[in-house]
Amino acid sequence: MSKAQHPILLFMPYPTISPDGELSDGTQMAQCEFCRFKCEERVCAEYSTSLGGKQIRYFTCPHGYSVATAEVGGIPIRINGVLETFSSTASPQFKKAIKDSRKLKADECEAWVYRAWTAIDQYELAVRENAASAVAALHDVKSLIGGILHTAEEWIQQYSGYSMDEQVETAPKQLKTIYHACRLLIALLQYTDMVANPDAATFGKPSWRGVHGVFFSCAKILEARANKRGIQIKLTGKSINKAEIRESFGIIPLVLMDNAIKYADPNSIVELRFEDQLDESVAVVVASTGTLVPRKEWPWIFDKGFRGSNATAAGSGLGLHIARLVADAHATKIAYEASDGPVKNGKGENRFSVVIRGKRPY
Amino acid sequence: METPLGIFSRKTIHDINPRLAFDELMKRTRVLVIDDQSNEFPFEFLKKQGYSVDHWHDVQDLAKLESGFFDIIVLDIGGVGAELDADKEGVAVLTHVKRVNPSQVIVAYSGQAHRSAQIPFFKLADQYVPKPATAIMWKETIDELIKNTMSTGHYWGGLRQLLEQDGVARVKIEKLERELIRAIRKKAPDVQDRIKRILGPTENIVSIISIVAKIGRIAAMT
Repeated sequence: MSKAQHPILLFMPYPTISPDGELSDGTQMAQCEFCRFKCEERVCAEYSTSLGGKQIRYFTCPHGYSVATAEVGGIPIRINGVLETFSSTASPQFKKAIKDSRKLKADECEAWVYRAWTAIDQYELAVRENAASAVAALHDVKSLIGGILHTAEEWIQQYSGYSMDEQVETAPKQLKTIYHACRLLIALLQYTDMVANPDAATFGKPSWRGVHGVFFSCAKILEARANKRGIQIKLTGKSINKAEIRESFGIIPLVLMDNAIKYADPNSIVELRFEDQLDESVAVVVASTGTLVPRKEWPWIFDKGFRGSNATAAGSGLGLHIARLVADAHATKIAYEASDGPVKNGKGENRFSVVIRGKRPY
Repeated sequence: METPLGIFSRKTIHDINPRLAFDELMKRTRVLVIDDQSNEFPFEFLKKQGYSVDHWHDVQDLAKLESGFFDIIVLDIGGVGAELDADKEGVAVLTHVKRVNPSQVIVAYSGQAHRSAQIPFFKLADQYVPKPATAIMWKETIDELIKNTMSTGHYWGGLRQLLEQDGVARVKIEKLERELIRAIRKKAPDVQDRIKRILGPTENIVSIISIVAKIGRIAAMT
């Protein structure tokens, strides 16, 4: 095994299931007396096998430590003590030693992992089917919202402006509210489609659009919602670059801004910072002041169903997961970080950053 | 493409594009919306903006869809096309039209993105718009499609692909291109016989003639 791969495998606290069925968090797993976290020999042999298009990797070391790793339902699982004799680099003594001491054979391990994969797949399929039937029931709601939206648009056209965006601004407040409420509902309905069918993030051909414009448009939709909590949405910095994006991309600003509005302190500012990078990519940071996410929870913040231990508002734990799904469909980086400065009462600046490949418009 | 000195220059289909302002091109682009509902598409808004938009509640004339008469077809997935296939509805219409005329621009307009079984429908279409959509979104989508597809080059690309799939020799394809350029310059509308002579017997002759007719129509927009 290469030196580069080795530390990741040994030092990450993967959940561990022993051959006896005992579950541990990975940092407390039983290891042979020679194997330590700071192993310096790094002479493990690696072997992998594929089952139904998914991979199980085996690692063995001459001192008797053997482990199988596989990803089950998005979680890396590590199984200790697998009898693994495929390694050509292992010494005959080692092969004999593990044959005598290990109980779980590789094929048994594979059968266990395969069963886990099948169970997870069936579970996810059932969840999707249930979600799809629930979303299908929204058909009439979609139709009604579409009708209200187009009526609002027809009224808006009576007001002055070179484009509909300008006409919306000159329209009476009530009409503007109805229009933006419809747009928000439409965006949320699109979001429910994605919960039921994550592939919806990749639908449609991407086209070159200004990233600033997409975020600005979303800020307008959420303005009324922010105002209810006394929150002001402020756009700072500058970006003229365009990015190749699909219709689904709008979910990212919607989720990030909606979360920021929901979890920010009342009467604070949600700031959108734009910057065109030297490599023409566009960086956007959605910053808000409120309770920080504990550092140990950062790795799971975009995981499906994850709810932070400090969460101050209700939620499903799906928003950020969907945002990452859409980001992945656009080769976009999305990340979270908290302010480095002094933290008072667990509060500080929460920052979600989005970096998308772009190009200058001319 | 022309050489820098203009010597040995040879015109290609790409050089014969309409010299029209976008507003004019927009007016001449024929958009058809096939949707069983009338209130889910901003017809009035787009018509006021100058777009030429027709509405069918269902597939009224399949031949018109196959022939490329419309430049952009906005196709709903549910409640239309039951006559073609009662189960697949809009999916069957899309699959059929794309098979007969691969260059036909089709926008999948659906509120059924949650159904994973419909994925091929959305992937086969030239664009996907979730239902309902705002008038601004429609304007942007249609403008983008006009810019990208209302050119002789776009349709020639589709035709070339079709011919190559049919195994037509490169020499014949180049000859067809020259013949098309000649016909466009001389404003000779009927080139069907010449096409048939150049290509010989081919399975997709109906599609080929449809695309050629489309190239002729776009080239004539000057």
